[in-house]
Amino acid sequence: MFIIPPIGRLLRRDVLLLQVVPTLVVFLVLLTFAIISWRSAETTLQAQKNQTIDERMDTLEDTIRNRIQNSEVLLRAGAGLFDASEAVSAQEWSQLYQKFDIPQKFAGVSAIGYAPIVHAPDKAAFEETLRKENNNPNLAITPSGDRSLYVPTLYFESFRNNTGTGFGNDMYVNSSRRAAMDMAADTGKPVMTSKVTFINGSASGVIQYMPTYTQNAPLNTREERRAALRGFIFASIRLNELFKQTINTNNFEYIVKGADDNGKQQVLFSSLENKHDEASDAKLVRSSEIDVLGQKWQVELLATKGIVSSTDNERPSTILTAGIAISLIASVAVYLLIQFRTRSFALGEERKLQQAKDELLSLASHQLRTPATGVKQYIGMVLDGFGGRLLQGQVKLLDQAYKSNERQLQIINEFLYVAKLGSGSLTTTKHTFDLVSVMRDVIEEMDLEVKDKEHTLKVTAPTLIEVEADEHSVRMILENLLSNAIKYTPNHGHIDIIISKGSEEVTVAIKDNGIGIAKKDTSLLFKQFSRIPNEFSVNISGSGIGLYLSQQLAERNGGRITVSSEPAVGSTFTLHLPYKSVKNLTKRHKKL
Amino acid sequence: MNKAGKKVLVVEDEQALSAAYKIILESAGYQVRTAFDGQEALDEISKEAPDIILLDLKMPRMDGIAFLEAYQPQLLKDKPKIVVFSNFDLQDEIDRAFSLGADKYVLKAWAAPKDLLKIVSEIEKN
Repeated sequence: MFIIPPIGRLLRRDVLLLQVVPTLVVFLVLLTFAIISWRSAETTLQAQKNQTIDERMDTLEDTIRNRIQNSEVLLRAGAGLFDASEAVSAQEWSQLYQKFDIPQKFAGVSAIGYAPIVHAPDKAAFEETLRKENNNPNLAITPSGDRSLYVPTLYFESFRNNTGTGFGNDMYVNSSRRAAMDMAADTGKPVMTSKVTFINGSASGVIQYMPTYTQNAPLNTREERRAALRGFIFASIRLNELFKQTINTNNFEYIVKGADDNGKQQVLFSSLENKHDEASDAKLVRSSEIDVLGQKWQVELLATKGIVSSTDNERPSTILTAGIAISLIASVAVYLLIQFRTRSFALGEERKLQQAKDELLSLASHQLRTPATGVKQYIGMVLDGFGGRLLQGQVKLLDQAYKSNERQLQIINEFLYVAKLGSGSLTTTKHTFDLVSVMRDVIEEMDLEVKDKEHTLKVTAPTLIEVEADEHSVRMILENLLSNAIKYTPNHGHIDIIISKGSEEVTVAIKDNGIGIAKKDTSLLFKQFSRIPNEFSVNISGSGIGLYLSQQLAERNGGRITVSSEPAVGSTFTLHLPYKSVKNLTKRHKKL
Repeated sequence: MNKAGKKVLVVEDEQALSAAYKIILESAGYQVRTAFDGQEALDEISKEAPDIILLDLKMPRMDGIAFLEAYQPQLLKDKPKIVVFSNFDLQDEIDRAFSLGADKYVLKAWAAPKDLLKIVSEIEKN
């Protein structure tokens, strides 16, 4: 028996290792690559955000500074007017500022004024000038009271409806204004107050002061500047208007904080005012302190929506998701590819192995059959008269030799069949054929054996029947069953062959009145190499595999062989084939 | 029984069998030549084309399949009848022989002298 286990089972662990390890490696490599790409994209995104914030913050700071310092032009124009002449009239003052398109070009500037330095002895003369220049006999320095120094408003040009005039208002009494004026006087540069309430009390903002000095006076030191100080050009600026008109920030909001009169930090402007939805989403992203005309302001930049576009913002997560997806897809693809390859390989190996087994069996059959074939030819030739005429006794002896050789060939054939069954090499091809004809052929082939033992043989075959099975297998089965019936029935026996069709199967029963089989032995009948001892087994050659092979072949064709027997009465071996593949052909009828 | 000189080429490496087939076929009137492998068969054919070839499969030097591949009988105008006559029963090889121009396969072990004459006679008529 040539039985070799299938290669697939032997390699299963190796194949699993071959499939799982490379798949995991591919997955991990791709996943690592995806994570690195994701981290890189995150870093790039963060840098992009920082750059955007930096740019916005710079723009915001520059804009605030520019707009605050924009009004310096107006202050310097006023200072220039005073530098040019000893005395400036109210008319000259008014004409100067009518040349500027202040409401349009100078955001937030609500008024421009001039306030001279008035020492206590000059108070009465100033008030006279105040009333005269402004054509208002009721004007006086406010608040009233004696002070050593006054800085009251002499000229005042308003550019907003709700701006108070403030003629005569001594700004020096207010600490915030005084601090700004002192610093401006000492430095010669424009200086801004902290947040103050304007004179009419309805508006607030900042006031910028620009000092004017006596012509040609030395201004190198603080004392010289103080001594030469004539007064201040001042500009009132409403912060709300300034910021609203000048600063536009997409997706960003901002808050500007600065000190008030009391030095307390408070919000000077918030772009989130009246924007409740944005305010809830706003997130502080940058804060910085800027110095504008002597004031330190805190500028806070807030992001309400994405700092960058949603596409940019989602890029890292998109890369990670796509990376994981690609890793999974590629890993599955690799797994399937390897599986396909290993299966193909295993199948190829199994096919090769099967081919090798088939070839080995065929080669063995060739080697075993060839010598017996030579014997068969030569004895056959002698029996056929090629060597001359034979005596009857010689014919009988040669006939025995020929039969023995035939039996040997039969045994070789049976062994090879069993080996093929064991190795899976046996191929059977089902096709439709006439079962009765096959039975007739088998009987014809064994006619000599029947006659030798002087048996009578009766066939009952009501119809000719076509079955769908492997004809060669069925022929071998019938040969084996009939051969056994002939051999194991004493001379002058009787053999009945009955072919019939039941509701589910077709049966061929071969019944003899031979030696029969004891019930205890029937279980051995279909086992390999089992021969049941009886009066014939010593003299009759046999391999002990005929019935085993027949049963195997019957099963491969969807059928089976059954036996009923009684010692000294006889045996009936029946081949059953399935009915579903059976057609009863009543048109043709051949007599056996 | 005279076969009017029908030429049979027996290609068989077993000398005993080759001699037996020669005797049997000549007794029936065939003109028989023998070759002991595929190469010898090609040589014999080059001398004179046979009508029938009895071809063994397993032979030394050049086996039956190699012989058919070299001989290419399908390309011949008057193709001889080819009976693969072998105890080698590998189905793949038998199929290959048919694809290369064989007309019949017979398992040598089952053919008695009478069967051999019957087979050759039948293939000659077909």
